[in-house]
Amino acid sequence: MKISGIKYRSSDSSEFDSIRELIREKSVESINFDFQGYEHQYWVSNDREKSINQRVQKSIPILGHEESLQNIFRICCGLSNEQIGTKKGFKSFESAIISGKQKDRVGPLFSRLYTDIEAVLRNIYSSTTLRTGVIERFSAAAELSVKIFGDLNDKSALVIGESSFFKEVKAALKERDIGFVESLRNNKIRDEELSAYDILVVKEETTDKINQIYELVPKMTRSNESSFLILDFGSAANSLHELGNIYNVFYTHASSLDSVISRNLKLRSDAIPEAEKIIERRVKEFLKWSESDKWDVSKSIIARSHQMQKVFELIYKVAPSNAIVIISGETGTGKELVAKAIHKSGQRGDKPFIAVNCGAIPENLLESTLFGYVKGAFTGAHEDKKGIFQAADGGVLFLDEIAELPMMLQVKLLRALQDNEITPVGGNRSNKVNVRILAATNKNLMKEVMEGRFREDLFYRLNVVEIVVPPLRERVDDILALANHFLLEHSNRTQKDKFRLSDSAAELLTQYQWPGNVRELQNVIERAAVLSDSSTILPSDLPEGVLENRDRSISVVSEKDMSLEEIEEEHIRLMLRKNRYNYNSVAETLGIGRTTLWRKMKKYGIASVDE
Amino acid sequence: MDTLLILRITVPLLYAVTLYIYTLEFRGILKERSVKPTIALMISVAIHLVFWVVLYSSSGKYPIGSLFGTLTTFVLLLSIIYMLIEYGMNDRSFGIFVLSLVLLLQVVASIFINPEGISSPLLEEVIFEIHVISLIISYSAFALGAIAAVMHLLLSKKIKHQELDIVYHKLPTLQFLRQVGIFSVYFGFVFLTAGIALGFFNASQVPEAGISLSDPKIVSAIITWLIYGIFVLIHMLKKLTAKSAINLSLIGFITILFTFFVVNTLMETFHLFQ
Repeated sequence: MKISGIKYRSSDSSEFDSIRELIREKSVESINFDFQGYEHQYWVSNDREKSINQRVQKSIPILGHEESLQNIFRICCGLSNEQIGTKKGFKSFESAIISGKQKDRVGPLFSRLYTDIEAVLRNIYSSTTLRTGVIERFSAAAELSVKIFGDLNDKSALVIGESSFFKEVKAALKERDIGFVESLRNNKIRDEELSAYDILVVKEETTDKINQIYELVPKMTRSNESSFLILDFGSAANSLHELGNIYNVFYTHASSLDSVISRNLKLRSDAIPEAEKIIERRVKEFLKWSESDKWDVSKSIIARSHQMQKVFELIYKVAPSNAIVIISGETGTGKELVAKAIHKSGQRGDKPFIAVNCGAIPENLLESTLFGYVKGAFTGAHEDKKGIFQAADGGVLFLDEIAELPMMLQVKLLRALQDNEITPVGGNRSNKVNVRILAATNKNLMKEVMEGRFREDLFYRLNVVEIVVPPLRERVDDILALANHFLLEHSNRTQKDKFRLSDSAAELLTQYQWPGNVRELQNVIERAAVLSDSSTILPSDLPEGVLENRDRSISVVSEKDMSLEEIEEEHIRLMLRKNRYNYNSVAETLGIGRTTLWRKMKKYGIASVDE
Repeated sequence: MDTLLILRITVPLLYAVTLYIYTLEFRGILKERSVKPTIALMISVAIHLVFWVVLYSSSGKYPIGSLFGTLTTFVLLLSIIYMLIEYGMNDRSFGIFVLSLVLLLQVVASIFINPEGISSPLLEEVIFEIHVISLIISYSAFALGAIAAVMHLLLSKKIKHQELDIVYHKLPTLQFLRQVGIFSVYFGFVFLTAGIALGFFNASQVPEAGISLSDPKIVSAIITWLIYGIFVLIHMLKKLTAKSAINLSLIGFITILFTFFVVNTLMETFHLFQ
């Protein structure tokens, strides 16, 4: 899958309504943002859906995968406009990504692209002169103030000029942490208060006003000890430059700041070749990654929910590194799939992935299984045998149920992690190994540490990055996607007709709490497919536990003694599940506003899917 | 050629190269692959230190008894103090100013003054060594204060004339330069006071040396002490303006240079130990 893009004037936006609608409907991922008067739209289309691009192409030229990437990178890094180095482009792109995530329009490609752009920006701002930022007149004036006064924290400025001018001056000075900025226009300031100011910023044209300022300045420069700065943004002809003859008074006309601005522009322009090189390298890496199948975690993990998209983002971030990752989550949530996805997306993708369940191997065998043994180490050890640490050399070792690892082996594992060395059972020589460790647990490891069942040092060594896989009941959007996937798998395996879920069965599945998570769902679907008399799964094909949820909201009211608040909470939870956390739909169904819904969710401790 | 002569030529040459590299960096035209200014300075200081040790080992005495020895020790100390400031502030903007003075003084020391110096038994007393070292430390601090004053003067003139060029961009803030200047003067004043007091004490121990208050070097040192004393006093009374701080700092340092060169070379003073 590849990224395509179009760009048109924002003023012509209405002409492209149908195109936008087509892209939104047919693409896998899509984002759009407005930047410098142009609407930019980028989407990821499935190869099989080439028809989208063909149809769009009829109305407007399309940018290809590489061109789209280069465009997005250049916009975000501030290389595609007059204001070189501005972050405005990145902010527009970032807003598009956030909004796309909320609308479920951002998947693995745009998520990875966002991560890559953040990394490129960090690189560019640390290694090129773009770090100086964009300096315009007001920020140059603020820089001049810093040059004279140093820390502006205890300094104050008086601004004479219209309110928009005051706002711009204030923003620039606040950026440099000035203590206080006041507008003379809004407030009457007494003569004795005038001496409290250190900076006077003026933008007035009339002679009367200029005369007034001439009177003001001597009152403001109250002592010879401290400096005073006059920044004149008025007409140069009426300038106040004579005031600069007073020894400790610095007068600067805004026109002289132009040299600062042009120097800044030159510095930023000088950074372009280096920034281009950084971008080019990253684009090449992205192209290589996107054209391989490594990126598509969604091929191995079926998930549409926001919560799982966040997990995917983490996978993309940690995969290229060698960092140890702890994957936590309830039983059956798919922790091993996450580990496999990290392995596949990372640099060790073509090296071995070996999984060990620390809880499933007897304690006395675990050590020799992990670290191997030498001939004669124990009865039956007739020859040297490599452990799985060595078998996974160069690749990834996945330690499932790490909390079950015996204390004695925790010490040995810690040493292996710290020194990248293992000693086989009965051996007296260490062997170097190069293994990336991924571990998983369904327990709270911190709690295990506090209760003395897990070594604290090992915990901190393992806890480099944690990925929490949410339980299925918290990601309602995934339930039907997974159910349909399992039905399709069953049909393919048994070569039967394609199964489909009836609406009522689907509703029951989304209402059920799934304590056994994805594994339980898989079993329920398998059972339903086997027992079903037709190609449609009906509620009667589902097990008793799932059926108990039928009309639960009504039954709970009738069967239990509940307060109104409890009923309200229960009903809100039900509606959220039913509407797949679409807050607008839930609020509309309940007949309350979005804010009221949010307040009630907060009151009952119902987690928002965006949190 | 003997080692002393080689080092006598090499040290100012190295400082010249270092100043050149600092100037290139100040102007923003130093090539990425060229020697880093700090490395060049470290090499210069290291060779200068070797020179100082060779001077010491060749005579068996600290090289502070002669004008040449005192001057090169002063230069070495100034370079080391600057290096520490550069390391602490992570800012090389003082570099070309300090190194210009360093180069000038080292060239004078290397070319014009007899490295053999004078050897008087008076100079072998520990108290004398502390007296000289205190004065050298104070002069180094005053030198730094004077450099900060020159930079302040330069930057404020640039801002006054609205010439916001490379000097404006490269120099630190006026406030910072003011603080460095004041701190240097306070620091130097403490050592100058101690140095002069030890000098009087030392003189009182050897009446046969014929020390007189009218000795040009003593007069010059007392004038220097008075100038910096006025600086400290006005500052403590919170009456010190930027203008008077710069003026006093520069006048004080000119007096020091006068003491070093004019008094020591042209006037009759017992401090020549002849």
